[in-house]
Amino acid sequence: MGAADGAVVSTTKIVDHGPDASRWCLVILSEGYQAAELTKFHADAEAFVSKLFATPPFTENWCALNVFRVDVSSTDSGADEPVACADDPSPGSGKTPATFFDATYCVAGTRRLLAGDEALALATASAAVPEVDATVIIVNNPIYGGAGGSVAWFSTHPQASDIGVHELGHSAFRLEDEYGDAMDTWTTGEPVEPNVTTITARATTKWHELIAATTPLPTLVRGAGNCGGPDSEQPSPVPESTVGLFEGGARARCGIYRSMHTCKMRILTDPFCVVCKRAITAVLAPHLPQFSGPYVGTQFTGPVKARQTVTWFTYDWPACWHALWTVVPSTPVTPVGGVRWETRVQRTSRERIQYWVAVTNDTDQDVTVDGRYAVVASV
Amino acid sequence: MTEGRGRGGPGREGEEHRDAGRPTLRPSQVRAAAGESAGSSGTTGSSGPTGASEPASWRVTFAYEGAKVRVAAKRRVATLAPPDDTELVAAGSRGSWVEVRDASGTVLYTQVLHRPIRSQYEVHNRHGVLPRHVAADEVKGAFEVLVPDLPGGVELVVRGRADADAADAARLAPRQLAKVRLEEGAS
Amino acid sequence: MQVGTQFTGPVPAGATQKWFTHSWPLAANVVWTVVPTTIGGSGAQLEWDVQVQLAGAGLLTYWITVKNLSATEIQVQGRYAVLS
Repeated sequence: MGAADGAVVSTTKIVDHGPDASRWCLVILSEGYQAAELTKFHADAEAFVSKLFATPPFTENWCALNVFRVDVSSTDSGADEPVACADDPSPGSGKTPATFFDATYCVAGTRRLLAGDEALALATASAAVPEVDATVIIVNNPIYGGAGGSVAWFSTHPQASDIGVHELGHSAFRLEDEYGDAMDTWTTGEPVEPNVTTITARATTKWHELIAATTPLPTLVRGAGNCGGPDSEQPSPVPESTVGLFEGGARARCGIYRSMHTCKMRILTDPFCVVCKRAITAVLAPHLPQFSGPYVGTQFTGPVKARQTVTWFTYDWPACWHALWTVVPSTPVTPVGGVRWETRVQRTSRERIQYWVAVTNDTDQDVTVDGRYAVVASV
Repeated sequence: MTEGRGRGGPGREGEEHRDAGRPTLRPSQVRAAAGESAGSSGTTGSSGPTGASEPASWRVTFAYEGAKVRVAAKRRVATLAPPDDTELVAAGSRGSWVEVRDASGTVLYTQVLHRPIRSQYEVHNRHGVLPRHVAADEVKGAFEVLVPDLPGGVELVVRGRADADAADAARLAPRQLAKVRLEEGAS
Repeated sequence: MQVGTQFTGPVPAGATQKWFTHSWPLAANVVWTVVPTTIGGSGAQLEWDVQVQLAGAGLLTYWITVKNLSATEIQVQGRYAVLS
């Protein structure tokens, strides 16, 4: 099993926001897809990209990303499913497909831990995309599973991609977990991760500038005698959108704090908290494109009858471009009145925008108009 | 004049729609224009389409087994490295990070890493239950760091703990795990 | 040229949402564009207008009103470009 059980077939840039040297480059590898199944991998990779796009703050910083899909074929389909696994009384199928990255369920005796050859994954990603900043691997198996580390592994189960996003939070954005599964109380120094802190003084706590003066600090505590395991949810005493100091994080239940009641670094399906979003943005923002322009030109020309409205629509505009529309009448001279316009916008896909420019002729004469764009564009 | 079919969509009731087509401004024009302004800027060194010199970084891959950490690969790459985390490391004392140092040992750049030595795996679930961790069968794996190729930056130092399980490692004072020369061919 | 995202957020179906942003230098030539980040296939999703207030000596406050033209809630992104 291993690199002899498949081949790197191709690398395709599926999100292109300019030069790779300047953008934050995500590589998506395939594991357990036979050559004939790579079309399915294309759809699975596209689904993950769509999920990432819909997850703030990736949405706001989307123009900073390039995404590459590296098609790796395997001899067989799927991942190893050991019959016996320490934490699962139900037997697995026992199949042991020959795959490139040797992915298996039941890592560390835990059925849903799914991972493979991490060193080979890193090497494959950087060979395909020398500018790689982060790597995820989609494993072609419908059973829920995944794992973190230097690369994020997740299966094709519909909810498994949440594992990928959380683990990217660790490996690419140096975020700490925000729950307490291992320790009663954090008793030592301040962690270097940006999203947890032991400092409770209002003026110096790690995200003090985000905390309103009226928010109590600490905001939520477990209370004396309540630091024993297991970790549990406690209702928030403040609105969910409040930034403060909520006890529990870095795998300790007490003595350390996170910034909001919940976050994707605590519960997989929740959004990232404000501090985590800030930390992710700090990494992505330097990769945002240099903008150039403005570029100006005429997109459409045509007649508008007296007192009528005509709407032009124009499509396939890159979403990372900032476009402004102006409309001018080019003929004839109208001694009284003129034209006005409204611009409407539609997001037709992740990367494309359609504009609707509704032009109203407020005169009693038919006019001809020019529709002009002024675009501030990224490379 | 065409009706709003296909790409047009329904729009508003009673409005006349006309197809104004795709952008007359092409991405290739934008890139060419940006490239031209970069070429005429008179800067030395290679210039990318952004008009600035291309960024340069070191990608260093470490392999670890137990407490032993060694360099598995090292390569110079034309790409932007993550931003400096000096403020985070200055304010904290627990965790893992890398430092780029000059010949006198002065730290020029710092980057936080989250638990690069994996002695435990995080176990997730899809039911909204808090995750947990389990011990890895063996402490063995690889991690990569991407640091900027800074003038005077000659050495990369990795600080953290590799001798305890993940929860303990986070609480213990970090030690030097590895040191590597940032030059072609040396380790 | 400086560009960026100044605000993001939801606008319910058919509703109007107003954002304000203050302390922009009077001398800066700023243009605002708003785009949906929710993908919608059945027609125009939003329109916006901009009001501006001289709120202090040499300082402008912009008020950007976004109207959701669609039948479902959309997420929007308010972007600025400082041309000079």
